[in-house]
Amino acid sequence: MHETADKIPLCKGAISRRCFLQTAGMGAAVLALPGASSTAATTSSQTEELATVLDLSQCIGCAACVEACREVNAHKYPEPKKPFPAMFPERVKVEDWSDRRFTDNRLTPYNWLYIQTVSGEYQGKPFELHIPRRCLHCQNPPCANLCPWGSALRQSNGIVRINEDICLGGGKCRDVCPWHIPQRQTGVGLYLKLMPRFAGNGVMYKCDRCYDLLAQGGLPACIEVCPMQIQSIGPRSEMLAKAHALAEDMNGFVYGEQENGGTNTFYVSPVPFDLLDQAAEKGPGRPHLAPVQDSMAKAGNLTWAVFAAPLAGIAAGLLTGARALSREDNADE
Amino acid sequence: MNKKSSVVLRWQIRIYQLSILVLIVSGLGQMPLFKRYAVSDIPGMAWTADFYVQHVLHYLGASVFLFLVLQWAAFFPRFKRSYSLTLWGWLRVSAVVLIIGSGFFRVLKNLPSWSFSPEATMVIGWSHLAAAMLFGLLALTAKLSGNATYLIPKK
Ligand code: SF4
Ligand code: SF4
Ligand code: SF4
Repeated sequence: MHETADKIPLCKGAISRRCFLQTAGMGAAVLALPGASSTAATTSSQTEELATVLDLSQCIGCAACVEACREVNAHKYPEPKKPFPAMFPERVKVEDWSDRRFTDNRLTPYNWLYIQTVSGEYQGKPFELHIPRRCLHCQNPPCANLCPWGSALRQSNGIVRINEDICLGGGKCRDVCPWHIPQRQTGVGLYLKLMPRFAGNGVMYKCDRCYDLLAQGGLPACIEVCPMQIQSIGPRSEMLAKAHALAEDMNGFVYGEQENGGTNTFYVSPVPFDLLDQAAEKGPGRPHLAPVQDSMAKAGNLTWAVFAAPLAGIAAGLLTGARALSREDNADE
Repeated sequence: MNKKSSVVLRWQIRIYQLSILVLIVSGLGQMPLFKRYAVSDIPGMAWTADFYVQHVLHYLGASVFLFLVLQWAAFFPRFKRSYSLTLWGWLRVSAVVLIIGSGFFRVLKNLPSWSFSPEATMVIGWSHLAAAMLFGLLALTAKLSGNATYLIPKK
C-alpha cells in the first residue's frame, strides 16, 4: 500500500492553487506525526470531502489528462506473473490487460481515465462533447462498503481507493458499482499466496484521485496537466456551488450531485445527461451517464435496526429477569 | 444455550439458530463465491449472487441475533446463582463477543460519516471474518464432542 493520505484539512473560502497545496501539505505533515494515522476514525465535521468539478463545455478531448494519469500512476500498475494459476471451476475467466497496456478507449487496470466522446443534436444544433470518465468517488460508496475483505475503502477526505496489497480481485466492487468502474488484472496480488485456484482472481484497479500526490502537496495529475483547466478540486460544498454557478451560466446540467446518493465528481454539461447517455458508447469499461438511485439506501435504512436490536434485547432481558425474580419472590412467600 | 434448561425459551433458541443460518449464508454471500461456484445458477437461487440482497439479509439476521444474544446476556446475571456457563459455553460466548465487536465497527465503517485508515479497514474486515470462523469451529467441535451445552445447573 502506498502512503496514506487520509484526513487532509482544507482551506475555507475560495480555493486557490497555493492554498490547496498548503493545506494538502499540512495534511501530509499531520500524517507524519506519530500516532496520527492510528487515530483511525474522523468525522466529516473535521474535514470536508474533496470534490471535483469538470466543465465539459471546455474539454477539447486532447487526452493529455489520460497520458498524465498513466505516467504518474505507472508505478502502481500490475506486473502479473505468467502463466496464471489454473482457475477452478474452469468457467472462471482470467482478465489479462498486461499485453494491452496502451488501450486508452476504455477503463482498464492500466487506464484509470478515458475520454468518452459523445455527439448528437440538441435544440436543433449539433454537438460533440468529450467526457473524462473515471471513478466518481461516491460519498457512500458501495464498492468500499460492501468489500468483504477491507480492501476498498473511503478516506475521510472523500477519496475512495483500493488497497492493492490485500485486494483478492473477486470483483465485487465492480459488480456493485453503479458504473462498474474498477477493472481487474489477473495474476497479481494476495490471492496468489492463498488459494489461487479456488478463490480470488487478481487485483481491482481504478482512479485513486492521486492520493499520494495530494499527500505531498500536489494536485491530481489529470487536473494539473489539462491545458483548458476544465477541472477544479476543493471542498465539496464549494465545488458544488461552483458546479451550480457554471450550470446556470451555460444554462446547463449537473451530473454526480444526486447520483448514487451523491458523489464527489460534478460533471457540468450544456447538453442534458439523458441525451448524452443515449448517444454514448457504453459497455464493459465504458460507463453510462444515466440517473442512479442511492445503492446503499436500503442497507442504510436498516442500520438503525442493527444498532437498536441490542438495546432492545438488553431491555427485554432486564424485564424478563425482573419478572422471573418477582415470580420467584412470590413463590417464596 | 441448553435446550433442557428452562432458562431460555425453546422458540427463542429456534429463532437464534435460524438467525445464525441466515448470517452464515449471507456472510458467505458477501464473498463472490455463489456465482463462481454456480450456486446462483440453480433455479430460484439467483438471489445468492445479489450482493445487495445478501447485505440486507446480513443486517436483518444480525438484528435478530443481537436482540436474542443481548437479551440472554442481560438476564443471565439473574440466573447466575443457580446456573453456570460451561467451558465450551465460555469459549463460544467469547467468539460471539468478538463477532459483535468487529461487526459493530463493520457497520460503523459503512456509514458515510465514518472513515477508517486502510490498516483499520483491513483489521475490521479480517477480524469479523476470523471471529465468525472461530465461532463456527468452536460450535462444530462442541457439538461433535458432546459439549454443546452452554449452561449447567449448579450443584
Ligand atoms: S486534458 Fe483537459 S481538455 Fe484534454 S481531454 Fe483531458 S480534460 Fe479534456
Ligand atoms: S464510482 Fe464506483 S468505484 Fe467509484 S466510488 Fe462510486 S461505487 Fe466506488
Ligand atoms: S485523479 Fe489521478 S488517478 Fe484519478 S484519473 Fe486523475 S490522474 Fe488518474
